[in-house]
Amino acid sequence: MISPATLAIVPLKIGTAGLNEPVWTGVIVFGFVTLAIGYLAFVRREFGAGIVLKLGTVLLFLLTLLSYFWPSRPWPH
Amino acid sequence: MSTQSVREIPKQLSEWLTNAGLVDAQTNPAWYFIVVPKVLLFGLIMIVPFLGAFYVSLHEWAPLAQTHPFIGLDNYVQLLHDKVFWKSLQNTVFYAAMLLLFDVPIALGLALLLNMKLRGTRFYSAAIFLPVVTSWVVVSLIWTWIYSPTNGILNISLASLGLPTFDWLGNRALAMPAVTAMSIWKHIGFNMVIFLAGLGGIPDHYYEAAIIDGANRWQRFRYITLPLLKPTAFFVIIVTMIFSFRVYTQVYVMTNGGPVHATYTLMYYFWEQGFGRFNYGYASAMAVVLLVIVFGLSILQQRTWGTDVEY
Amino acid sequence: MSTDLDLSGEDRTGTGRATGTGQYVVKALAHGILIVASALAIIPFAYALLTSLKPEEKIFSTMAQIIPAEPTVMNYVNIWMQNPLDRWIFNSLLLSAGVVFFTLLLDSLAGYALAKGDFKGQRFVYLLVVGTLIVPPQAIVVPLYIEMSQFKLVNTYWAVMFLYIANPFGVFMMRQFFLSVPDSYLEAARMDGCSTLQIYTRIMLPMAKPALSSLAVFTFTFIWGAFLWPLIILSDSAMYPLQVGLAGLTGQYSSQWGQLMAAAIIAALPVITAYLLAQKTFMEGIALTGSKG
Repeated sequence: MISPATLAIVPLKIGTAGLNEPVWTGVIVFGFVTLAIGYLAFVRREFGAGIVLKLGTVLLFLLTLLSYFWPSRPWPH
Repeated sequence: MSTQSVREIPKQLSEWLTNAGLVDAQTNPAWYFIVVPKVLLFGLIMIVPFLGAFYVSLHEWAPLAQTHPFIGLDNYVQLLHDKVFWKSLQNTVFYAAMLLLFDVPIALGLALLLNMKLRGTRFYSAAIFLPVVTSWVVVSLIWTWIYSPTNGILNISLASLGLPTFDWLGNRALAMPAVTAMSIWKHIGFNMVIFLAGLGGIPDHYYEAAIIDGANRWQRFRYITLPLLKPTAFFVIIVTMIFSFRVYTQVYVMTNGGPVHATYTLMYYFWEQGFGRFNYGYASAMAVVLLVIVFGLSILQQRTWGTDVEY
Repeated sequence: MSTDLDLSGEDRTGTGRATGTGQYVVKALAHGILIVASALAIIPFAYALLTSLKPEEKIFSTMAQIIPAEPTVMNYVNIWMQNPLDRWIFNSLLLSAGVVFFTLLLDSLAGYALAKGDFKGQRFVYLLVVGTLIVPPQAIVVPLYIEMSQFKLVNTYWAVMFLYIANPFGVFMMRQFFLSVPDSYLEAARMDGCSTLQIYTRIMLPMAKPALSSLAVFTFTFIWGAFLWPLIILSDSAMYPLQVGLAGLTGQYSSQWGQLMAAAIIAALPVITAYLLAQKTFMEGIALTGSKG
């Protein structure tokens, strides 16, 4: 049984990220925006997407990956 | 819109909307679903806190306290007797006045010069607009270094010209003017572009007709540009004033309010009371004062905005 | 859209067409003033750049030493290694991406409904937009903070984004844009059997591309520079956006100006690069604030 108190923790958990933790907000936001922009840039012809949107999609996808793999970076902070 | 498009949404929902009196045969319920996310956000993020500011300001409100006793207008009474508050208000008004005196006229002048369509206009406008796109924190950092008492470039240049040097941000009389001067530098490009857009909106044939009639440059400026630019100018003035009452970041980065409250502004004191001393009630009273001032200015704008020039 | 910024340098008004020595004097004077203004705008940035390239111990300088004798990138390396600048930049990008995307989506939808819709309460929604346009977001941060702590959202990225996504400016702007789209487009699409939402995705959205890109750039600049709200709502320095992190460095590096200027240059670079690539879009974004539509 999931209590309301447990549910309330969920946005907090996926909304915060320590220095060497995966950034779940980043995965969600960047992932979602990648899908949406990618759809406009590559699927929908009538939108007439230019190079900016296409490059943007790739960049956003890389950022999605980065959000998840943040802790495995070899970076001594 | 047509009635058959009611079927764009599930039947139960459209029935519920009809029963709630929101939808009749002429209305397409799809519009509600299009507009509802933004309206919800407005309600939760803007309207509730907006009303909350008034509510909290009537209470003694410490974030960790169990109860928040109602104290009526005590916070406002305390504000009236608070010397730091009056100093902050005075500084904020000074800031706004200086922006009106220098920022707006210089921006208008630069926009007029750019509108002459000289060779290199693109470069000039790009350069003058550069401080606008840079963030307040960055320019504040740079200017703190420029104003630095011993090694800053301002004092070095003054010294090399044989002029006296100052501790710009450490001097009680100079700190606020120094912060203001930097803000004018940062903000001029913003107003300039709005003026430039206003100038671009004046139809060419006005000038062409005036040239045929033999009007000289000054006459064209005086009798065409100036009257037609009046709505833009008024907009710029009001927006600059509203913007001025929000001054905060540069004070935080450059002086931290010091020396001895010399650069306290309304928003800085608000932040200090609210999130430095966790005096939510008192801070909210200040926020309400700010809201009242800004609303007053906006009503002023709406009044004159209505008397727009049509061309 | 009434914000057609013309920066081409072509004489549009005929003001320069007349000749004579007087004209040349006026032009020379105008050039002179504009050159001085441009120089004043650029010099602080150039000064910051020069400082950031100087070794820290040689920062104390006279006018003659303004150009670093032996430029070094050590300041950049130091500030980057000692502080999570990369993480702060990442946070700023994350907040910008979220806010810009949802602003564009929700504002274009709401603007479309306000411009082309016909429903009960439309006038009320419009008044809500114009009314909240005036409210300075800074003035409501205390109650908003209390509200966010009720929702257990303090110190989350969501809380930062919410305030900026709720900004009404974009709705107002998109409404003005959609008002300028002729109704005949909608009628034709409806004849073809398009639903209200399909008209939005197939006709309105592609048409609104210039307005959307201006709004995107405007929102991006705004979020990149956002300071007060993230400073208040975030308590974990790993989640700070760049501006908040940067402001925190002032105490730590109080007199190490070379490193501070290096940080400032790093923070300014992304926006300045974007600006130089798309100057016109940036300016139109600002000019839109002044347009009544």
